[in-house]
Amino acid sequence: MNFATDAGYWPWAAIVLAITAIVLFALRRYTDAQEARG
Amino acid sequence: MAARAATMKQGIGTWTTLDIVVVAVVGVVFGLLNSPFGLIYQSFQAAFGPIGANIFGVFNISQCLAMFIVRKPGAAIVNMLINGLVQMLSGNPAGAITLGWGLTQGLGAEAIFWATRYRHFDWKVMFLAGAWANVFSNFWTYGVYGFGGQSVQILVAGTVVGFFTYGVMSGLVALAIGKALQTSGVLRSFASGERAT
Repeated sequence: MNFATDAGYWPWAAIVLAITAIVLFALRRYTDAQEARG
Repeated sequence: MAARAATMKQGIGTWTTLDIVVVAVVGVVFGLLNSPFGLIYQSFQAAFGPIGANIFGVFNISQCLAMFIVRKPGAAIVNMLINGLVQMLSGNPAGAITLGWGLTQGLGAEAIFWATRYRHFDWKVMFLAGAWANVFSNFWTYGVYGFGGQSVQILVAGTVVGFFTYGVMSGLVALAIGKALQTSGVLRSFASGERAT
């Protein structure tokens, strides 16, 4: 394991973290909207 | 009174002794199951690399089922830390690597349940919890197995494969087990026994 020279690891990690943030944000808003509707 | 009790059971810091015991027992049982499954996993990851490492998606049933039953913040992380420890001690071929999986898989599922405020457990949420637990575990897998040296496309392809295999084989399987337990009536003492989903 040598993260510093791993070609694909960091770009992949950046993509995954960005998508995770979007999914969690969307899921939270969807949940709140569902609950507000009752 | 019953409504107040139900509200209290949903709150933070209201873990009962029963909740703690069930989270631990589910972690131990699935930890013991995951160890022999680890042999199959190793075959796939050795043969097919990052994509093979994401094919056999049964390792995230534990925390999804534990959270489905107790519905308390932290249940997924605590459950998977216990699960990872038991896997290491019970002879999983990956050895101490399982501790890293325990942490990352617990965090991934916990994040999804946190986003739904620990109140929604339909098939979509359970699928996402199983899937995202694996998405997070790839941070560890790709590092320790040296897959990070491969191209971004291969790593993303592995993650996409894992999203579906773990969503179905872990998230939906945990939901099916949880529903069966709900139907049998054994979850009456838990938050999951008070709700239809």
